[in-house]
Amino acid sequence: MLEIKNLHVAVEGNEILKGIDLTVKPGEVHAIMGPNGSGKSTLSYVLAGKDDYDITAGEVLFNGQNLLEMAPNERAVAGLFLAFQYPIEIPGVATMTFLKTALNAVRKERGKDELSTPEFMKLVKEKSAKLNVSQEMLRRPLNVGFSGGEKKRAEILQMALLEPALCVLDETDSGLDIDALRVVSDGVNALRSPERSMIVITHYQRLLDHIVPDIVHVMARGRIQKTGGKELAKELEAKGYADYVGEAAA
Amino acid sequence: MTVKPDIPRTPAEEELLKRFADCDPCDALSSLRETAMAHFARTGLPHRRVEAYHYTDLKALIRDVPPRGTLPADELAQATVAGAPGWGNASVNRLVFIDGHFVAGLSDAGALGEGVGFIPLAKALSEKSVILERVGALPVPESDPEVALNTAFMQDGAVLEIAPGTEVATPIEILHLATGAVASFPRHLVLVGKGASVNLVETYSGPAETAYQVHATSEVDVGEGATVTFLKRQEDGSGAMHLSTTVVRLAEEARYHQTGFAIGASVARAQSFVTFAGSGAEATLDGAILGRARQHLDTTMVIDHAVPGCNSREVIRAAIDDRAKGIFQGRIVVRPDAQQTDGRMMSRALLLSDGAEVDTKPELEIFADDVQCAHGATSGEIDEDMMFYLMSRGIPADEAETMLIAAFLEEVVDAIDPEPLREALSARIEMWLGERRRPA
Ligand SMILES: Nc1ncnc2c1ncn2[C@@H]1O[C@H](COP(=O)(O)OP(=O)(O)OP(=O)(O)O)[C@@H](O)[C@H]1O
Ligand SMILES: [Mg+2]
Repeated sequence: MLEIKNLHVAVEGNEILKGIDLTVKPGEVHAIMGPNGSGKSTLSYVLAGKDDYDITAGEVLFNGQNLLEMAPNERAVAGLFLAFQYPIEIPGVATMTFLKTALNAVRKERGKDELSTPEFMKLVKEKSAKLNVSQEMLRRPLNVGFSGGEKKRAEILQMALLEPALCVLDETDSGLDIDALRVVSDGVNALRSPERSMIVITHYQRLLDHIVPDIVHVMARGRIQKTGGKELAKELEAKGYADYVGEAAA
Repeated sequence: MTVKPDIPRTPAEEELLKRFADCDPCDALSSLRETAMAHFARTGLPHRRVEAYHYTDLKALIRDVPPRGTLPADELAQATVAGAPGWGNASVNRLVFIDGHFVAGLSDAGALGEGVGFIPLAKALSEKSVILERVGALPVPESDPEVALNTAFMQDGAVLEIAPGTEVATPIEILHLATGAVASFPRHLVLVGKGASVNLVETYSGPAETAYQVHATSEVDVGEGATVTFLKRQEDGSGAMHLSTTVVRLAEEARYHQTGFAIGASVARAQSFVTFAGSGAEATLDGAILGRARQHLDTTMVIDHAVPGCNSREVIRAAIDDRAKGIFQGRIVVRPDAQQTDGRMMSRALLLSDGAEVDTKPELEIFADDVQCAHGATSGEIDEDMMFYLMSRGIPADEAETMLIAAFLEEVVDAIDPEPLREALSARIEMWLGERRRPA
């Protein structure tokens, strides 16, 4: 599904990712944990195709395609979805219009028929009900005035609509109350399938109690420092990142 | 007229003075015209050292003035109106002017309804109607060269009188069309009685790549407690020069909402002068400006708070592409007596290409102490984070841009009343955005 090989990424001359290797197979759920500033969001943005980064070395294959050469929308069409840590507010664009435009753009490129307005409304109603996203919220401008939790639920709604092959969730649990965490996790778990893979970036074991990962990585100082099973997350929760930061880990 | 101008006259100025001397302005407004032309003789066309025209130097831009047009034959008139910008499903009552002349046969003058008086200016002039006393009666900045030229050469226009308390249900559109390279000087006068309400539209359109000129002036006198919306749809042809002035006076508790939609012409300058003459009145002046190619689109407004307790709001959005140029000048004046004034002006420009340019000059002149006034101006490119977010959901770059430009204009478009007119303009913007994505 995804193969990241020796990926080096710099911003304005500062190297942030210093040789990432990561392979995600179909159906796997990977968790990435790591201290603030270790490069987790940078990795997710680079995968999604944000422009601000210099890729200084390495390659990324997504189902055999050279991901780094594709425009962000092409990556979405190919099946990559990033749930943003900080979803962008877009005044003047109604959420509903945005969802329909995005879904039909993706469907068209994937060779499916575009949905008519009634078909689309029915689909959105069904998916949004499961995520406790109100119709009123969908009439508002995209993410504008949404609470932190509402923004995260809206991200998962987009993910559910676009039916990606690889979901990258960047701290989707931050800002969620306990009930919302359950709703969102259920939403994510409902999307788990033998063909669909996930990369879940989080600081908290709590999320991983709901979305149980197959593999856990510790990222620090721009590298994956350790890889293990789901017990690694529990160990981090108890001991923190002391083993992976500072000189001792070098 | 012996006063020497400080700068040698241009051929266009000489031509205008000669034309005025040659024609026989011995009509009911001749003394008004002569005063105006005397002003013009002193000032000439305004140039960059005249502050209000700094960005739109008419002395340099107006090389010649085409002749005035004549009333076209029926067939041409019909074809011209058929090609005019439409309103989709919205119903409007039209008053059609072609090359500056009222075309009764293609107008809905008879459908304006009870309480709406209408007479073409040309008819009022020939009949020496008493209504002519109201022409030029508003606080028009008579030193303004464009107003002076219009006053000197005005021939025809719409004189509308809305009786007190009348709620005019259907919008009234004053439609200006051109058939060729002519100069027109339309002059409109709209008198809105106490407590009346009306939706006015002024539309300008004409053939592409034709050097016609519009020198228009409209006076709108809004009575006590009256409500007026005024939508100015400037879709003049790509070779046209559009110079228009809107003068508004608001009586006590009046409500006025103006939207300037500027998408056409090669050079356009739309200026508005709004005076608060009675307390408790509110004015909103919005602008949606869409420029491309080498268009020069200037929106200038002066809001004069002459009395206490009035609110004014200006919201300007300019989306400028290619090598086009957008200009916004806004001045809020608060006179010493005008306590409790609330005046706010916000302009934002979106630059859609490296060659696009925007000049903004907001000014506050405040002579009272108990007031709230603010202005702000921003300009920038399309937000990259927004683009990335939309594209990360599968939306192609050109479509994402289109969505963001439409969103940028939304605040102004959304405020257009009534809704069917808003929808028609939204559709027009969509068309512009579509042409941008798929250049002809
Ligand atoms: N556009 C940028 N310009 C400059 N520095 C950047 C930029 N983006 C990221 N960085 C820097 O790169 C480092 C990694 O940031 P990143 O956001 O990837 O961390 P993170 O692991 O997601 O942290 P957190 O857990 O706080 O979300 C930080 O030091 C950050 O300041
Ligand atoms: Mg992060």
